[in-house]
Amino acid sequence: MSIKLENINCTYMPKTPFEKAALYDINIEIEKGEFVGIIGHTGSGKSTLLQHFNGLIMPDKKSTGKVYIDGELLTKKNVRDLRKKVGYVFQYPEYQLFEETVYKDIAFGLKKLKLSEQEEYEAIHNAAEIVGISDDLLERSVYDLSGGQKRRVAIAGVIVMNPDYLILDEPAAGLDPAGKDEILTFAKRLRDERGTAVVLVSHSMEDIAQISDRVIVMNEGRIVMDGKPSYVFAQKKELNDIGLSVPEITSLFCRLNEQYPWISKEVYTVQDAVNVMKKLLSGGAVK
Amino acid sequence: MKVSFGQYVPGNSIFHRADPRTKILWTVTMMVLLLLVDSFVGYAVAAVFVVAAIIISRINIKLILKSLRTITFLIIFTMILNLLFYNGQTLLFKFWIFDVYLEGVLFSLKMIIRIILLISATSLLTFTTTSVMLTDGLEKLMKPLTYIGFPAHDISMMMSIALRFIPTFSEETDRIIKAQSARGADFDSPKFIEKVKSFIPILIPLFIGAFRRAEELATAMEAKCYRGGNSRTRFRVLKFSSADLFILIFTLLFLAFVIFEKSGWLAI
Ligand SMILES: Nc1ncnc2c1ncn2[C@@H]1O[C@H](COP(=O)(O)OP(=O)(O)OP(=O)(O)O)[C@@H](O)[C@H]1O
Ligand SMILES: [Mg+2]
Repeated sequence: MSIKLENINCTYMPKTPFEKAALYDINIEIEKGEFVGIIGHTGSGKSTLLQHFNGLIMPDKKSTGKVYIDGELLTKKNVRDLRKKVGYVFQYPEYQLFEETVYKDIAFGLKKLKLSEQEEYEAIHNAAEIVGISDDLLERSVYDLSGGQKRRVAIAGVIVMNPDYLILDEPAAGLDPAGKDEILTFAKRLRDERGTAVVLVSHSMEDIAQISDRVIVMNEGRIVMDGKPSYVFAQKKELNDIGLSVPEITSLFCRLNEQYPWISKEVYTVQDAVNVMKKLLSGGAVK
Repeated sequence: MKVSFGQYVPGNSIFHRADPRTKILWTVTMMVLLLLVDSFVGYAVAAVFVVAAIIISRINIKLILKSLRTITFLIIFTMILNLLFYNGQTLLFKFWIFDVYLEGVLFSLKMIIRIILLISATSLLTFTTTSVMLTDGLEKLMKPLTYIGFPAHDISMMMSIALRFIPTFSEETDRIIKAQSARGADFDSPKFIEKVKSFIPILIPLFIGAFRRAEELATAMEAKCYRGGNSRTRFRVLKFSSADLFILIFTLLFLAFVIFEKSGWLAI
């Protein structure tokens, strides 16, 4: 069970003076249950890549590019069905809300599934609970909510469909730290409880290092690194060269490591740092 | 975002450098003159002028052809109507209840050439002028009207804001359509009512976005102490240059030709 992209190239507005190549030769596979973080400079093609995962952008018919969802080749015909497996949360999803009440807006996607009233009710309450929307908000107008609450409603409208893959394009942009943490936490919870594969774009290296099992680095339309956070964030110089950085805590331990070589620099999260410090303080020098 | 008819193409040709007022003048003159020209010789010469203008403007001929493609329907429609309903003397053949005359064929041919030349000549204006320059030019041209109370500055400001936001809204529409289809919206249901209903999830966010943008823009203009037209100086000062002289002479040449042709010496 996976989403697989083969030889994907993408050019916006081809054959015009505004032609813009956004992706080159992309080959990746996202397995069910993975938590994938995608990082890359602004304009590196992250959003363009994500839109291939559920057929919002289809590979050019003349090219050799192909997308497989759970082994099935994505075509114009089956895209509507296959898309149900892939939930997609856009950058700033709060601007797509339109129903009178929060409840109705979350229910929008469910309408096509022809559920019984009871099933629908349960699915909606469940989704609202996961994103942290309390029951008393459900009958409110979507336009009376705060930005952060709107964002959650929009995300609930996607996860209510119970997708096998959840794609989040900068879900935490513009939120306060607590709001951001909550979004990351429930993404993680969905993965752990339901086995949903999560693909998350973020500009925060700390978040990516902390939450993902696998990190994909994009630069100018190409995938330049793909591996465990410890593999990617060990390449400080390469990341700096393409306008990215390592988590602050990694920088700190790299600096310490220069002066005190026995302190490990393989520290990517606060938890790693705590472990290293504990060992140091209890006397056993690491490395 | 798709390239729509006559979208600005950056460049540095004579046409790009010329004052927008000169180009508006060129466009209006071409429109009038092309409607006056009435013979095949006239069209041939007009075509030479238009093609020369396209070459001078360095706009890729493919782009012009593309903008012509959007009016294919109009062209075909005009042609068929003229073929079927034009009454002349030389009957070519009968088609069902219609008579097709040689004069009709010639006339519809002329119409087509006329439309193609018109579109090609006038699209140069929007291909080589940014919307900001265009509205600046219009404002300057409308300036004399301010003496009788016509709000030239406000009109041109409204126009430039409207033009400025066309691409923004087209992008936004694109985004919302994608976002809603990712949530399971279905835009090509065969049933009419369903189809109309399916636009609600696009229109509402689009309108709300438009109002939000308008409010933000108003606040931003207020914050920058925008106070309408009086005594505002400009970042871009329009002035008459050699490029303008060139286009003016070019237009005058064509005008001279049309007068010459119309006076009957070339009648065919
Ligand atoms: N609809 C579009 N039309 C034309 N060009 C586009 C369009 N969308 C994106 N691009 C271009 O494609 C490139 C990749 O854009 P993309 O949105 O995928 O970047 P991104 O990595 O998501 O950036 P960000 O971090 O700012 O969201 C950019 O250079 C952008 O200008
Ligand atoms: Mg993006």
